[in-house]
Amino acid sequence: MDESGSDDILGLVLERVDSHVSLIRAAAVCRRWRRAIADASFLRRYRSLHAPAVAGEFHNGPWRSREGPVLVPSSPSMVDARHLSLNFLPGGAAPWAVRGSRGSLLLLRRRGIVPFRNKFREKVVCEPLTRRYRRILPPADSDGNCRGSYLIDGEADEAGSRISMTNFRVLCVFDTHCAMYTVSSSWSKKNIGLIAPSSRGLRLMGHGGGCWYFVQGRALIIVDGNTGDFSFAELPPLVEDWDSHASVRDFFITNGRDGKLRIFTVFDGTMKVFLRLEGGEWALEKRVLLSEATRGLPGYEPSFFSKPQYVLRIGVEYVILSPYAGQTWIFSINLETMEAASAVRTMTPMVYGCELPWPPTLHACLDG
Amino acid sequence: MASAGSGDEKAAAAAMITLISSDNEKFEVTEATATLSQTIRHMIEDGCTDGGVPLPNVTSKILARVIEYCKKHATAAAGEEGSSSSFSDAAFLEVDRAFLEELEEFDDAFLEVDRATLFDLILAANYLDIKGLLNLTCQKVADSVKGKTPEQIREMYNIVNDLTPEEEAEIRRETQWAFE
Repeated sequence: MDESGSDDILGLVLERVDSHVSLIRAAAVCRRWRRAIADASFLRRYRSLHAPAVAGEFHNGPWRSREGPVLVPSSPSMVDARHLSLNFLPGGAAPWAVRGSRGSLLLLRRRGIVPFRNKFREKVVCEPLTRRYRRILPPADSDGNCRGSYLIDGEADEAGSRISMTNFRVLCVFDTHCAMYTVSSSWSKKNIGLIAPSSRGLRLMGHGGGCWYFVQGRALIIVDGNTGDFSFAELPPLVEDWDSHASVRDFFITNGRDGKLRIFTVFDGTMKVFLRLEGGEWALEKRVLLSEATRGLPGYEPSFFSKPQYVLRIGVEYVILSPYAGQTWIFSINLETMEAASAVRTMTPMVYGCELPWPPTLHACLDG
Repeated sequence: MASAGSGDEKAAAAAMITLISSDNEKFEVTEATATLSQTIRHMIEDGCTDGGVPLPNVTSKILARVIEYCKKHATAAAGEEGSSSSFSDAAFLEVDRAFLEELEEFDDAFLEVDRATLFDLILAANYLDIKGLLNLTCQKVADSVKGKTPEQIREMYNIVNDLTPEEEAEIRRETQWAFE
């Protein structure tokens, strides 16, 4: 491989190394291997062939935990858990709660009482594996409560990465406006076309295809991660009798395994899946009556379906639901087949995955 | 290893191609076997295979192995096509699975070679443009790198370390979590 193999063949071999950690080690073998791996087009190609590697998941532990976020390492573990410690954050890990994650980054918010004159709780965006963080201080002209903050992609860099410590956005929703933080230009105020005079009722439906989808009433607000631009659309009439009893809490957006965007609703005991067509309109793809789909599951009671269902977790092609929040009877619906299965209670409803940094840091020894 | 065309009428009817290795050994193979190589397929399409196809980059030892691979995979491809017409769907799936399993076993056994042979096979697969063989052999090398330290990889493939100890330390510092 040293003498006989051409660079083409070295590339063919290296793009098949299906472990990110092994690829980084291979980049320390010799200068030739290192150059081949650090090459932007090689990294782009590698990324298109291999799914991101999740190093672990964080959750915020029991309510009022004083320990800070809890790590659940991936299994089998690919990185020693001590490299995922959050003890490098200002004041250590304890004062912080995870609010979002994207790629190898976490968005955290300071716990505890909000200072009186500044209702913006301090935030940080950090990359646990490289022990780097950036403080997100409030915008100069911020007023009112910060109702929600979301970690969003930045513009793609030359290796095709849209999220890194030098390339991310944080969208903060205040009472009457929104503000977007970018690494290069700090805060900018954004008109996101709130239909109400306040951001009350604005909710993140989910993200897919590089866009983040918010909903307020029947207005769909779309944030493009690559450009940072906002666009607007109206939600289709996803349920009958929309005005009288629909709530924004009933709609979710997710990417199917086919990469296509889908909205699903859980409403009046029925789950519906809508597929976005080429032209941008939404078409009902599948529907299932939950009480019928789950009838064969152990512990089933018809009375479970006289009340609203709670969506506990959304996966790539499944949704985990429960008739009552905190109940032990939990089931999942496969979004492809619409079949029901018994599900196990997850430890906490919300976990935040943390991937290995991409592209990997390969700066040293690339000259000559 | 070189085989003369058999007297069988069926075989005689099938177009035969002669491949000539770098050490001048001649191998006679069917067109179906030879055209697993895109390089040879193009030569056949251009009508420049009369008098044999010289392959100056491939030794007889390696060419024999490559032909062994192509024969097996060409047979499997033909078998799958044939079975689809003569079996019901369920039976076809069974046959299909059996073929795939047999093929996988063949591939595993085929890769049981020393490293030098493996690299010669990669070079030949690349030169002859045989997608399946190139993928198989490159994946074998890629898998051998998994879980190894840089030093172990260098030893395995006789790679000279052209990084100074200082440079190595700098590289490790950059992505320390990948090395501990």
